[in-house]
Amino acid sequence: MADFLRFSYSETRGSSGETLFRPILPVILTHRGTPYTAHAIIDSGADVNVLPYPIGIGLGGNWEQARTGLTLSGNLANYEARGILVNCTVGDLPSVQLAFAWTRAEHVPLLFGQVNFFMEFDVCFFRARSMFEIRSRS
Amino acid sequence: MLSDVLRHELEKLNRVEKLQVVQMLVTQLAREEELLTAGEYEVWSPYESAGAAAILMQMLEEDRQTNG
Repeated sequence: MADFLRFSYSETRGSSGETLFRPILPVILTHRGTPYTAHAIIDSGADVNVLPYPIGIGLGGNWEQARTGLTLSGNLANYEARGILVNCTVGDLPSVQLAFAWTRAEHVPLLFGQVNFFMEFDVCFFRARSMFEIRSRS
Repeated sequence: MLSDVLRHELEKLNRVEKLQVVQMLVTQLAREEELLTAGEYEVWSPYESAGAAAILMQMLEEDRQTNG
């Protein structure tokens, strides 16, 4: 099993056609046995992980039974959010359990934030070289 | 501020022409406003969500106690 994994920054296009480079991580999310392949933006400024509503539904999540009471900031403040626990696998690193703020918003990115992605993984950004590394805490 | 010359010229317009001027200005202002709003950017990252973070931490702890 690998100790760490290295990824290239993803090149994307902004709304004005400008080129953007982002640390986007391919992962497999699993909830109650349902796997879901997704790509998450690693966002060290985000206090929490954010799960878009459609991905939560795709994972078989039950919105009605999800933990209530979460309030998010920024644009996400306009949408109700609930808590959900999801298993996450990055490459062949050991799987971890992530807690997500599951937002009712649909057109938002999957975000990995401080709670608790950054508690499970050490991340090194090498933006000048357009790459980043993920190291499992364990 | 409108110059006396411009004000004088506008006052000479008939009713239809005045309405056309108003419509032209409204269209122009709406276009400029659109350009201004196009410069606004969405911020999805939850920077100030300590309360939500605390709830998620509590969920993880509860799950740890339940499932080991």
